[in-house]
Amino acid sequence: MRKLAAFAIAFSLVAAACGGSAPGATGTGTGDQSALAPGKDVKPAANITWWHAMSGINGEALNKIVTNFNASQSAIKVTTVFQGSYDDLLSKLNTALASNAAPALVQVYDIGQRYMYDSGQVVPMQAFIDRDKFSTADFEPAVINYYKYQDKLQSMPFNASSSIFYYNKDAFTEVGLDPAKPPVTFTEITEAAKKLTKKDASGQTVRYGFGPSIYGWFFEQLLATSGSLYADNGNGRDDRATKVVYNNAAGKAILDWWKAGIDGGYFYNPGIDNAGATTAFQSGKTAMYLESSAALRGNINTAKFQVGTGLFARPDNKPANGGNIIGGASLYIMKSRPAEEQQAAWEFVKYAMTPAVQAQWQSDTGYYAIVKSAYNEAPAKEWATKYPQFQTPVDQIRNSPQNRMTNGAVLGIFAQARARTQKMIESVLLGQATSQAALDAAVAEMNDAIDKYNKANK
Amino acid sequence: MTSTIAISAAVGSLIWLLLFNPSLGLLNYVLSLVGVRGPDWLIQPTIAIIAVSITTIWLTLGTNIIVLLAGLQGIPEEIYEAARLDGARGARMFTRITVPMVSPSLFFLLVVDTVAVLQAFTQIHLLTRGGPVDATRTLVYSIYLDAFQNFQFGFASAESVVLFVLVLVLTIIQFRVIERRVFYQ
Amino acid sequence: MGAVALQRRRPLPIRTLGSYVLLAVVAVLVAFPLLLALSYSFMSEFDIATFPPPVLPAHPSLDNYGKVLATIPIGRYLLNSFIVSTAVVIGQLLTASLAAYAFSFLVFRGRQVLFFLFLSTLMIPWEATIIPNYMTIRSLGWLDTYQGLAVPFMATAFGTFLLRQAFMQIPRELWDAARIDGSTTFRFLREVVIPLSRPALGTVAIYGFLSTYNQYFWPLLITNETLMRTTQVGIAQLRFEESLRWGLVMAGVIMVAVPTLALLVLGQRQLIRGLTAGAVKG
Repeated sequence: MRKLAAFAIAFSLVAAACGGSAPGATGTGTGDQSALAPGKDVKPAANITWWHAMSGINGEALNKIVTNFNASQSAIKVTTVFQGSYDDLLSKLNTALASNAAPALVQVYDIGQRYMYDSGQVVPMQAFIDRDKFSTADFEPAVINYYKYQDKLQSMPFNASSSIFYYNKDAFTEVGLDPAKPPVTFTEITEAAKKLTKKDASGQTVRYGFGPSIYGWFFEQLLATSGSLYADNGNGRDDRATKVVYNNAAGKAILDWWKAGIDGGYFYNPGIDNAGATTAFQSGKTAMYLESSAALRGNINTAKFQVGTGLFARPDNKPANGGNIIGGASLYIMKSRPAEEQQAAWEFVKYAMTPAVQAQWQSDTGYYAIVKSAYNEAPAKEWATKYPQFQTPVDQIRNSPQNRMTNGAVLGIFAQARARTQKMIESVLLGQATSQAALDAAVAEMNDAIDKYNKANK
Repeated sequence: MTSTIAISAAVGSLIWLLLFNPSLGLLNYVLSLVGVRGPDWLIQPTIAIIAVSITTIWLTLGTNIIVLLAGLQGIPEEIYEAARLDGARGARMFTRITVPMVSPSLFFLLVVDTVAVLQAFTQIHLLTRGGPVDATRTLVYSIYLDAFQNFQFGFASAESVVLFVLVLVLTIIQFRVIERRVFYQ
Repeated sequence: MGAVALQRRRPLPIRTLGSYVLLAVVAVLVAFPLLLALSYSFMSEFDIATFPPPVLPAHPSLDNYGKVLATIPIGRYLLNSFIVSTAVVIGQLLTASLAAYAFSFLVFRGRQVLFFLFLSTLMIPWEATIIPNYMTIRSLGWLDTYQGLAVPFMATAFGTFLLRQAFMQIPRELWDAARIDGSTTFRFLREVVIPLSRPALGTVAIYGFLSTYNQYFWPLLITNETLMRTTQVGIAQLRFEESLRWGLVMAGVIMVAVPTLALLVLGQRQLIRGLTAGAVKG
């Protein structure tokens, strides 16, 4: 127990040192962070390890990038380690940091950024950017803004996804819906779902209209498209978040809509199994669902029907300040490794951000390129013509207004928060609690946990 | 039949995960053949508990069968004959002779199975992750979540102590109260 | 299998038939999931995704097995599991036999107390100790190592207890005779006790091997390195890595289950005897 307190104190001390002024900086927002990076002439290490959470074809695409990097030069060899889901990876990283076994490069999901920042174990990407005068002018603003804290880029965005709406074009044609016009608002989705639900002779549902999995990320996105904040203090970006605020009208509207669909029998509940929701869609059990754009390639390859993509769901009044939060993950360079390894990691990061690599990564997966000039590359062009569906997530992000709601929330205990919202949605869909009661209960529990976290990380 | 003794919890859980799958699983299809509408196995809270239980029962079938079989085989024929001479038949024979004679094995299994169930982690981790809505969040799984997902080691340690006391109390009850009714030769 | 039925002198034909049918049904129910896994391991995703769900592969192929070998270092996982399990077995045999020997033959102060202490640890569920164990292993720097995986399990109260029961069966006269002959305690252990207790030692060994090989929770916590993972964690990882390719997962599952099934076939008699020794007599 004492050890834990000691850790917490150590963390917060280091966090204070990190979050404060970098040596040689003059102000809080404009200081040059080059001093945090190893010297320019440090020779990169020969071997580094990269922990990631990409599975299936995305994992193959990732390994392809690494193989190409290793083959393109002989100075550095990157070894990848698949660490399970994003949650599992963060959990492992946490334990590895405590025993000084962290790798040089880590892929951590979007919501892990506060946690990574507070850990004080990261060499901010800004340090390398300042040192080498690396230009990020060509990067997608929405993506870069997400990963900045107080104007400093902490990590390099690697796989950017958008949550989009998938639908079965063949099923649309079958029931008389226009396959070129996917529903966007809650009511539109409900109406379409009613038409798409099909029952057999004995009354059993053979196809459901809409079947999103219970995933905390969707709830966060729905709040954002509703123009609502998730946490206070500018979603935790103006200052450390002290409480979550989603038990408001927007939150309730989301849950009520979802529950009505389940009760009506035209929404399907695959539980928390994201792969299960995709399997249900691919096998024709559901005709529409929500998922990351990262699943697009897999869907197109496996589905036996025409796959369509549309804008992510939003409330009927389509609030002007509502938009999507980017998803995905970014790459962090870990401080606990020697300077040579940090240098090697930076070399790889630069390679991964070249337009050619980004274009190939995009067409292999469904994550979209972070570098705008990647769209001029051949794979990107071929991809855009052959699969116009891929344009949806890109357009969606570019058309989203940039504000605190769409920047996404920053919370130190996001993993726990996300699990809690999932439990909340489950309890409403299963009829165990009313929307407002479930929202209030989740918010109360999370505020308590945030309080404890903030106290331990002063 | 005794094969389940060699099947690990991880292997068994993965197979049952496939069987319970709403889109691909054989289980609901087989049930539909006999006209039964299979439930959403891992999605409804009560059903999820049943699903985890089915998996656990299947995993421990091997041990249970072996022990009981040995116990049954150890009942001497003479006792049955004597009872038959006294006029015992069927159900009576079962409750008055078989059960008491096999009670040491039953007791052993009671203790061993209780421990196995309280320790169940793998099945929950692979099938439901403690859900839905914490329906399958047992004390052991909660220790795991609180320590390794939420990083609250203090709270999780407290839960560990509670687990220990719980098992202690259960064991004492089992040995003090139930063992009294076990018939030893 | 119809052992109980055979004990009756004049079994009613219906009764026998009934119990055979029942046994057959139970046998099918129990074996079915395993056989299904085997069947699925030969199916491609295309086969699996057809409706109604298939039982036998339409186009059986060994593709999945090849893909498993290409996706995860399953050979390494098997090696890790074997090394750790063997280490644990050796450790358990050593500690348990020495302790049991002391408890059965040697007289010393506090023997009773120590023995009860040993026994009382049986009542502590292992899961209640994971956090302190984890902290200890971590501070020793033993994460991602064979020692970290094996050492916490090298002492077993269960094994000690089992062996003590077996050692107590050895006639006291042998012990007395050996003392008179001037034999050292160690010699007696080596030349008399161990050879006479082979069945019990075998049980401890098989049981120790199987339970270590089948471990999931502990390796999950302390291994991060792909190459240090054990079989159980490895295939569960495969499930996450290839969540949409069930044929692949089932192939991995079969590959991991085969060693334990083989061990069971070889050591079945031993294991059964060991399990029932404690149960039937109480």
